[in-house]
Amino acid sequence: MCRVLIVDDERIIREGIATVIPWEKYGYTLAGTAGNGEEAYELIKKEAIDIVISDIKMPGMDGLQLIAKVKEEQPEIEFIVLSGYSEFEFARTAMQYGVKYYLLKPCNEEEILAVLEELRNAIEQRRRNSAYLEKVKQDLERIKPQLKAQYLKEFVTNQFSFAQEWEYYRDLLGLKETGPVRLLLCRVEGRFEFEYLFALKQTAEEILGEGLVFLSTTIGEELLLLIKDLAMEELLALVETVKETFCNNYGRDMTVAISESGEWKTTPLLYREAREYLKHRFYLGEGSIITKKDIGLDQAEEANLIFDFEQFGYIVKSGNTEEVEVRLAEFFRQLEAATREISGAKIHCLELFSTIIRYSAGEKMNDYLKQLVAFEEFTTLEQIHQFIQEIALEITTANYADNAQRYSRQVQKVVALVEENLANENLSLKWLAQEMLYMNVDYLGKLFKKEMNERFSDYLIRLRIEKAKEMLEKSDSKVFEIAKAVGFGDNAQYFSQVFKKQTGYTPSDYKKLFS
Amino acid sequence: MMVERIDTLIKENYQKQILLKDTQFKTLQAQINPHFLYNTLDSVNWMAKTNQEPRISKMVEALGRLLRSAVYKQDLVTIADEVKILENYIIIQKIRFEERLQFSIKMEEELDDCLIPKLTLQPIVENAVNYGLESKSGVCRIKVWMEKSGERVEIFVEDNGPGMEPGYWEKLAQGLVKTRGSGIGLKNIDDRIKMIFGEEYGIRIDSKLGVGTKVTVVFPFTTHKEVKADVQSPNR
Repeated sequence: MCRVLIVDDERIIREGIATVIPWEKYGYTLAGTAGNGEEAYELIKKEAIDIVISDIKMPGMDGLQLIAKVKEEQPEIEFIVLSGYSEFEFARTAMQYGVKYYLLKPCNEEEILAVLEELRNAIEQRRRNSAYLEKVKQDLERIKPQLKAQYLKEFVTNQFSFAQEWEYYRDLLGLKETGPVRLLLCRVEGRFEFEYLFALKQTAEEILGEGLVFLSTTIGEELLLLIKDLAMEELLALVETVKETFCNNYGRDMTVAISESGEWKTTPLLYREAREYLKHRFYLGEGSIITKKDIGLDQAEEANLIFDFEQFGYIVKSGNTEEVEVRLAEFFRQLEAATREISGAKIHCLELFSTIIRYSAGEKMNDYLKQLVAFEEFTTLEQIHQFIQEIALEITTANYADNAQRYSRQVQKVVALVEENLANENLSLKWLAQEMLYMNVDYLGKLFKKEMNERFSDYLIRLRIEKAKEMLEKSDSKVFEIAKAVGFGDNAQYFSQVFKKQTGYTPSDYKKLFS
Repeated sequence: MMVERIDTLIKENYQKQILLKDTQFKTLQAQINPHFLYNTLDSVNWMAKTNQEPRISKMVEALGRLLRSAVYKQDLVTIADEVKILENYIIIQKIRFEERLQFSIKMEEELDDCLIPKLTLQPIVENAVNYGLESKSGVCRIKVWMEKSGERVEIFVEDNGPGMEPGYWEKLAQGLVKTRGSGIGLKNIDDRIKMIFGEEYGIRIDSKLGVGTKVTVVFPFTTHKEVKADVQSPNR
């Protein structure tokens, strides 16, 4: 229902409009009339008004002042302006106030109703849009917990593919705290049952509170919490409470690794660290709380090096030489800053070296291993950098070629399968990926496009039409038979449409060209 | 030599007079507060509607539109707009004279956007209405139609009024007789067209005493795009 207010200082006009227009008949409600701007403004504040029909020239607060004031407080209210001024004079003033709808005096009910109708449609459209937006917002709000859990999982397992992605999603999820954080990695002792892990999550979140726990997720048999950084004593006390409460309620003990504190971006490293700590539960005993202090100094030094060997290995394997160079430079820059003597640095370099050669082709690995002796001779980081980079690039380049070959083999398989299954109506990339090749469909699609320079769907249509053309040229098959043979099933009409679109001819016209 | 000199003098004199008329009109225009006028018409209109007087309402609305378009500062308008002015005028006169006035018009779609000096057709029709309804007691019939031949446009206004004596228009055109009318006369329209488009355009009159008159307005085919740069009012 659309509620209308009329404002004009002339009673005759005001009441004329009010009585002449059959409001209810056209689905409007006349909410009131006002003789000047102030009166109108008071009414608008009290009543729910959708549209105001207003004169410009009025004593006291005039039409334009009224519009300015109302638009400031309730911008969704629309105005139709009645004016004795000429279009040009009026347009200049009204546009400043964002008024698009105006009528020149003398006007009549048809004109008013036409503009009202236009405005009502605009209002309804706007309401539909905002209702839709609201629903999307609510939906997002509902799945936010899952999204947050997924975010943390992907963040710590290094699945973000571009830099600062972690930051982008953090903002998107409305996580405003950007100060230092810690990770708590918890494990329920005893036989693994998911219910216990879930119960632990509930208990921990309840005791630590929303203000402290930013994100939480389960990874395998462990619960991971990303929390606001606290002083260690304070945190230990809290974790102790969680442990006791959980033990009392569920009769299970738990082991907790508490990471050092670090910036948001170091979260993946904090996770690696926490996992390391958790491994020490064999030495320290199940049911303990493990921090950096508990596992000795050596590990501590290593923590200064923000470098993910595992991830670096994947890059070598993927064949991305540029990224390898960038990461190596970063590694050596950090190493230089973190270590005081070359022998300490060599330990890290050896780990890096073994990571790299692990991703070389099997028969080459031994050759690379033999080169380990070279490390004996190196006296500067510079030399090591050069040595490792050379080998890393060699292996990465070889991997790239290997990958390319394997990719093209996969695509060749797709091509062969398409040939074989052309008559199959169900033939699609999804079908091939899931039923024949057991691969991820998106990945296969990208691979295909890269290798063939054509989207799979375009390729398939093209091939089907090629085959159909061939059959039309060389055989006496009927159109419906051809449709079936090239994968359109019983839908010969659809086949004809596609054929016409691709070739410009209908199948029968095309056949005539060759008979 | 003498003739040329007289010719120049006459021309100068005319131009001065036109200028004077123009100034008078502008003064008049400034004196009437249009806002007051339109508001008053609006009041009358809603009063008429409230009292269920559709004829008053129709007249007032037409009058409002007529005034608005007449006062609007623009020299050239499209034929479609010019015909709207004419139609508003006819709405008013039809209500006043009822079945004594019979008016018909035939538009040509290709001419809708063609430009014409504003207030060309309405004064011609007004002329026909005045003479036709005044001097005869019967029905006044007015027909308007238009044609495009090549780059020329012709608009015809034909009436069944008293007609003119032979040679009357020629005398009028030369300024040898004075009309008793107070509105925009045929001569004024002829002058304006010649001033805007050139000497080869203007008004042609075929009239037979006691039978009727056919006024033909002749001017070149132009549209907005072609003349925008120089003729359009700077206010727009």
